[in-house]
Amino acid sequence: MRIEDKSRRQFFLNLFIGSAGLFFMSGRRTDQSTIKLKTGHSVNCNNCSARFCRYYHTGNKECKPYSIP
Amino acid sequence: MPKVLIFGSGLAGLSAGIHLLEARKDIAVTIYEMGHYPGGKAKSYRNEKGFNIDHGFHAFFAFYANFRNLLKRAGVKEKGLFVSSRNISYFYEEDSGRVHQVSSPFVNTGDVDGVSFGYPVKESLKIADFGARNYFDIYVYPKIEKWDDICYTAWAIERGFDKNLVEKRWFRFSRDAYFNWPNEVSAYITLKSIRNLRNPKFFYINGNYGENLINPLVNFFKKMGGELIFRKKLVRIEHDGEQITAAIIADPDPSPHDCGKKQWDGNIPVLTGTDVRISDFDYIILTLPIDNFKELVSGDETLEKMYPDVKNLRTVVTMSYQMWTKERVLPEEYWGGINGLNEPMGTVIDYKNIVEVYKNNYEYGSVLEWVGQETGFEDKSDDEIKEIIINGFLKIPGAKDPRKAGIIYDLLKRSRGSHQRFILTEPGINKFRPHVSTPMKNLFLAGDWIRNHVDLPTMEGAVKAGMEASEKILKHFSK
Repeated sequence: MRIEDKSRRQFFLNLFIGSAGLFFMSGRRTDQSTIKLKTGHSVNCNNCSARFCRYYHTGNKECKPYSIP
Repeated sequence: MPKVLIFGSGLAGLSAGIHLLEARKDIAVTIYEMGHYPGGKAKSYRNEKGFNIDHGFHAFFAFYANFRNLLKRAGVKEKGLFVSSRNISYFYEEDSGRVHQVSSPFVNTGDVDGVSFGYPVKESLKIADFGARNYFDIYVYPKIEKWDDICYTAWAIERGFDKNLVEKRWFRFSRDAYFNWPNEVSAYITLKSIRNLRNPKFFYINGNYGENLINPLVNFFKKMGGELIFRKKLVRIEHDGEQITAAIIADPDPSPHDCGKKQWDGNIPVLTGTDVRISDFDYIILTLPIDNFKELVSGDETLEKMYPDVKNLRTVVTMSYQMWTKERVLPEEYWGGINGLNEPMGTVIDYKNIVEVYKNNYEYGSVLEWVGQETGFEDKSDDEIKEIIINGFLKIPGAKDPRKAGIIYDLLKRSRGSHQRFILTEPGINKFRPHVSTPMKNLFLAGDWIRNHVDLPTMEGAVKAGMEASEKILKHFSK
């Protein structure tokens, strides 16, 4: 059975709106490297021995310990 | 006839050799292997008592397309050999003492008291919400390599993931799978893994890796005219600044480690006076493990200038503990590996429940394998580590004490040798990993730690790197 033109337009419009919604919901940012962390970063930084992590290089080792109240 | 020398008979070396001979009949390919068995970190062998000894537990993922294709061409049939995992995994959680079964509601582990199907709804919704909000970054964004210098934990928390869930399930499992626990894995490596695991299927191999996977590859390689020479170690390479002019090989000294039966740390020594200089070749592919490669580079000014950063790559000592018991110690309902156990061994599996070779062998009640890493336990004796492992095991719902069930045989292996250690995929190290091509026009590199299109330290990564090295050489021949 042939889909009527109006239904086909509605279908593609819904598809477009849904895709756009998914895109904006994704929280994508253009430059991830400038994100400021809200409350400390990895909870495991104090136990982590990574030497080339970006936070280690910036000297930012203000990690909260794992047992966050 | 053009000659290619390959050093290392792990999956990278075998893949490279096979690929070359499949493409051209007019090439001579020789693989030199330092040890007694082919297969590298994927090898397994039968010891003097007849027990199958693995380098470690391997899950064979369905996304290993290149590896599967290679095995198919070598005549390996998946039917009967590849046992489906039914995508099932189990995660033990210390705080509740419960095990959560993930996937396949048709498997009846729920009958075991203390095992739940799935996770608490609230947590599942948080994870689903995180996945939906960050779908683009997780699955689509093409430049994920720029997130190599941040760990996946911090990456996820930045994007709103609940901090209270970061030491559980996928977070814990991915760090165990790359032998990094309790340290962190690069977000780039973790995201690459997540993307590959959009096909979540994986398999267990119905038997010994050496007999069922590696030997067919070796036989295929030899059938096409390839030569495999054991017990020859690459000691150094000579060059004129532009290309390799000679490879010096020598016989390894097996006495300190009793031909692999005893623990050996560091590099395997060579017997004095056994050096042989080989200069009759056109190309070399090195598939050496990192620490062996670092040894080759150090002390040579030109090679050190070519690879100044390789010293920043660290390796980890993986461990495996295998045990055969008289009576069953895990309910047969457990179909798969149980993850999230206490250190040092985060995962255990009872092959008796899954693999036909053991299922039908009434000598054994259970055939257990634990895997993990030595990090933090280097000073503990084998007996101390075994006790820690068993005490952790007893917390699993339904588990029984193997010591009371009767241990027929057990073996704890620490892969401390330079040729056995695994790359530590910590944040920020991707830029230090060498590529397949080198500044020397007749020298190529391959291995699970060498940059390639798979780029994950896995069997598939090793196979792909071997293919890429051989393709570079084939392009030279066609010029």
